[in-house]
Amino acid sequence: MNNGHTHVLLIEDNPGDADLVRLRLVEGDSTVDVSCVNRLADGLASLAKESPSVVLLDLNLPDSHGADTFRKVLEKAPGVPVVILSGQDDEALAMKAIHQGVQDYLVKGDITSSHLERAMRYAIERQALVRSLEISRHQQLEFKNQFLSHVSHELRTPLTCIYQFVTILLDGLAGDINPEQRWHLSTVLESVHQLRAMIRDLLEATRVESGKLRIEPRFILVDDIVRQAVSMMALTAKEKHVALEVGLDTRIPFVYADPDRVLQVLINLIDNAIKFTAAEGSVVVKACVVDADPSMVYLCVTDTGCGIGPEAKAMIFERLYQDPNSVDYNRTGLGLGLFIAKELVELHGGRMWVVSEIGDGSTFSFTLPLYSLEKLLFPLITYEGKLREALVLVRVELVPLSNSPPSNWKDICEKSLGTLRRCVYLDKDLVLPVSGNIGTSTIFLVAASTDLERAEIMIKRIREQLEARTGVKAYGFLTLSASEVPLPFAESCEPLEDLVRAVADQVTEMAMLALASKRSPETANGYVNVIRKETV
Amino acid sequence: MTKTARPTSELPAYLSHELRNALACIHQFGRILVDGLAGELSGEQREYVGIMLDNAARIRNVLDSALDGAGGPLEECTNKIERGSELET
Repeated sequence: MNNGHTHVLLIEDNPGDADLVRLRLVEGDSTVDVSCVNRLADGLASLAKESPSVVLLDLNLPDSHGADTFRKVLEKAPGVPVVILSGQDDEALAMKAIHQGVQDYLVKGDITSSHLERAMRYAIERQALVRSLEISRHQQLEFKNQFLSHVSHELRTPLTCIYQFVTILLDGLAGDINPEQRWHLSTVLESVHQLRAMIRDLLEATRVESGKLRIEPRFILVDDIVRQAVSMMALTAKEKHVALEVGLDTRIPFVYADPDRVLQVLINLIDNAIKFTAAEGSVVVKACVVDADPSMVYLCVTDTGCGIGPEAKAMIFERLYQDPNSVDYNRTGLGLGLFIAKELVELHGGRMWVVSEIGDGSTFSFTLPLYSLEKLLFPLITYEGKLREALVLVRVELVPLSNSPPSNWKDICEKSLGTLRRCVYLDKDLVLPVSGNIGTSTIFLVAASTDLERAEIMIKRIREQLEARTGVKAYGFLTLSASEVPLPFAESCEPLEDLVRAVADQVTEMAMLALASKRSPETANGYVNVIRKETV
Repeated sequence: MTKTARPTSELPAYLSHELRNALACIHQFGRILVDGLAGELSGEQREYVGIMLDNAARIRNVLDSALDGAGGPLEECTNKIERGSELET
């Protein structure tokens, strides 16, 4: 009620009832203005224009009946209090409405002006309370996230400083140190690493909560990442006398995932496995494709450790959970690792779970989606249920001037990829999530549903944009080329899906060649019709 | 077995505890070194360990003011949060 002035929207189709309610409203003490409509559609239209202080709603209208009526009103104007005017016989429905967010109801025969006024005033007050609760809940979350990221950042600088001075001392750069001093310094270093890991996890968990955790999926080989993770953890395993083994399927197709994140998940699982496995035990990392779900690759880390009880199993992926049976002698983290790992896997569209018995080891498994170019290409090369007429693959190669690229080269490449994504047409072109490195140069590929002639214009545009925005010109040069993807006949009577698959296979083949050919794509088989190849 | 998954509102206090453990370790061993309990340090080494300890103290200050609140805006906000969660229940 603004300044004691109440604007009421009355949605009621029976003219007699409407007049009666209007009369009761006017009889009351407070200043009220009433707009009356007799159909739900008109009511919703009025709500869309401006929100009244309160809605008085009849449930049975010419264009809507029963529960549907109030649901539509609540949906249209979630912040506006609604009071239902119910008949004698549908009080049960009115009660149900209250459970679903309506503020109050009045039975039509019993309405007096004081009843009506009080019901309206209460409805408005309650609605305001609910709203302020919602706002404070939102602010609470927001504040906590800001708070955590602020604190984490504040902690980083002094920590880096400690790290540097400890390493200087340990490396003997400030003079010799005796074994005892070395031992103390190593302990300090270990604590620094722990703190760092905690702060990193904290920031990640904050990102998860505020929905800011991002992944950058690409076309990657899972085998490589598994091997990398295992080699990174080999020393830790050796120190604990735990055998660390790898089991890989002979051929795992490409996976569509963020390599750094997959590595992070694997490291987390392997680290946990080693931590909870006694000396002489073993940890095995496996990756394979299972017949049950051919669209996913399956990865698992199995240990011969102490196992997890059923209660802990139910909680283990929760934030800040630590198995109380294990923390006493192995407490080094915040209990955020598995929480973050699971979130990361789910962001990829996979899932994560654990199988374990007390005393019988544990197996943590997760899945990642296989790379499907078909899915990505489908919207690009089809139009009104038919294949488009032309498709071109554009190869963008960034070559650094010297054989040892400058330290910001990686940044330039990332920036270029971002620029590239922005300067192609959203619905017609696609920057393939495939990128590769040949020697020191980096290659990106764009599939464009256009013909070679127009590809030339596109190449020109890409070059201009990259040179203008990424600073590549100062440190290297660009080589751009395009080639046509042979398409099946558009009139072919095969199902569209099959045609798209054939095109996807073709593009994959060409992409592999494009990534393999060394700055002279015309010499590679199947990669022809180079339109332009120039150096800056 | 007690459940140790914590609700959101407890997060800062719990974290503070974990972070402090690691920090205490840095502080303790730093003191041992600077006090010469593990053998004499040269002037330069002593200076470096001193810088280490200063930074450890800085971290502790951040934690003190941010998490346990000796007044200030952060504590007010934390209080607001606590009141918010009471309302919620």
